Amino acid sequence: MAELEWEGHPERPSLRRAIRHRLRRFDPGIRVVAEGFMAETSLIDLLAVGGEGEIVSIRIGRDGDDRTLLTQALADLTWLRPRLADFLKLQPKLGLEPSAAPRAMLVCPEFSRETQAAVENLPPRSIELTRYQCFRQQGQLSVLLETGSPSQRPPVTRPPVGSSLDRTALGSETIPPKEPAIRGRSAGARARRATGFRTGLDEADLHIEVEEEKLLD
Amino acid sequence: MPRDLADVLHYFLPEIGDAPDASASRIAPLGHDANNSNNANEARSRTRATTPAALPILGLPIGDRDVVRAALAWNLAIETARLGGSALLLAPASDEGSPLWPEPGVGPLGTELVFCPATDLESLYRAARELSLSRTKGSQRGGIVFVRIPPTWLVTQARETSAIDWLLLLSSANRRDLHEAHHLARTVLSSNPRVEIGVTIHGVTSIGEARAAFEYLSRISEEELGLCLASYGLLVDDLHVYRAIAAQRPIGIAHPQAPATRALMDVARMLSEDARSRLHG
Repeated sequence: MAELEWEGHPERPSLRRAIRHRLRRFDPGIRVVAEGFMAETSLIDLLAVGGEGEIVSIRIGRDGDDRTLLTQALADLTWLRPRLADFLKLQPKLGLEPSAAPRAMLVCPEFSRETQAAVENLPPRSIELTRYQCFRQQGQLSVLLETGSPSQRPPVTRPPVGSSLDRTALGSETIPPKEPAIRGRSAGARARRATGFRTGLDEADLHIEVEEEKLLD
Repeated sequence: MPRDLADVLHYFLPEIGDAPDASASRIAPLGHDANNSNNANEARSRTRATTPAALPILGLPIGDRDVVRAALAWNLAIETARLGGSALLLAPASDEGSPLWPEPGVGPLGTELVFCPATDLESLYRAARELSLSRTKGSQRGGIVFVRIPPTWLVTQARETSAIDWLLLLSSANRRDLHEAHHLARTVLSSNPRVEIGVTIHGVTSIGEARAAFEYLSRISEEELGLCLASYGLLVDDLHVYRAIAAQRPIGIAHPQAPATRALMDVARMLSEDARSRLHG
């Protein structure tokens, strides 16, 4: 039976990678395209393209960082919006949809009531709150992700760092990979999940002109 | 602070590694221990950020006579190498001389085909881990060890599937093929709940066709197995694929502008991104 051990404060690069890895299941529509991306004055931890072709700033913080992350995420939205054309020019195959508004995801162990209340004032999905907990499984760092909205998240009692736990004892609401990510997410996220197909191609990539065909032959 | 295009361009360059290591093309013998004492001293002197981990192992169920999937796997390995990563393809020695593969050894862009005397899943994955570790030193830019798994082994040796972390199913868009992929996923998942399974839809003529096929498979997997499949894009039904297969020539080299090549590059990019996550997670 797989033993899991809670991990308190992993190094930031490891945490970033673990979250990036877990996001593939938590929100398969998201495709991370860059790490440590310099925005106005600070690094965006993960820059991604969402299921609808929107650019997504993902900011990762530790306990108590949520207010700072919120400020940075709001600044990211302002900074990213006029630069969509640049991204399209640099990487036309990123799958960006120019008309899709940028959004942000804050990933933090906990969110204060003030942060949650502040986000409620913003347009839906413009800033999503996602909570994480770190653990090690067979020595490898991994994370649990769940939506940070108080009305949607199940109660989680965090065990002491370093304590081990049986994977089955986590219960279906907190087990990391598959089910909880579905149950704990918003209706919008569910919709994106249903369209988790990924490709960087467009229809034009799949067809070649007659002239090209002649050249190829 | 105002920025222009030049300020952001470098962020889209490959994230891992600096200049390609000149030693990367040197092939260490299979079974070479990257953690011997000399290497350990050298490794300690490096920073953690530049020390490569073992290459991720990607399992590919490919039938004994499945020339198309074998060719797609071989070409995905080549495109992975084109992206700068180390690409190795491991297959049971029983494949040697079969039409599935070209000659073993180092091939295009440093892609390597290795046969191992494995007769079951356990020995196959043991060989894959050895290969992964032996090539770690020359893999500053990451990479993938692709492993050809005879599908019958997944069924008859279900208990051994615990060795599999990452599995890629290549399925066409027709229902029978999708159900076969679903059945295979269920078999593996029943004995190895932590396995991560991805799907590439091949043999399609449009993105919509691939999307519909993936969504169907994803939906039934989620409903029946609670499994969240990862999508690894699509591979197109292109005459150049079959020509290249017949000639045992890499599609990306024989027809670099063909849609098949674009699709292979796209899938290889997604696999490489995920492989990097695994290396550093």
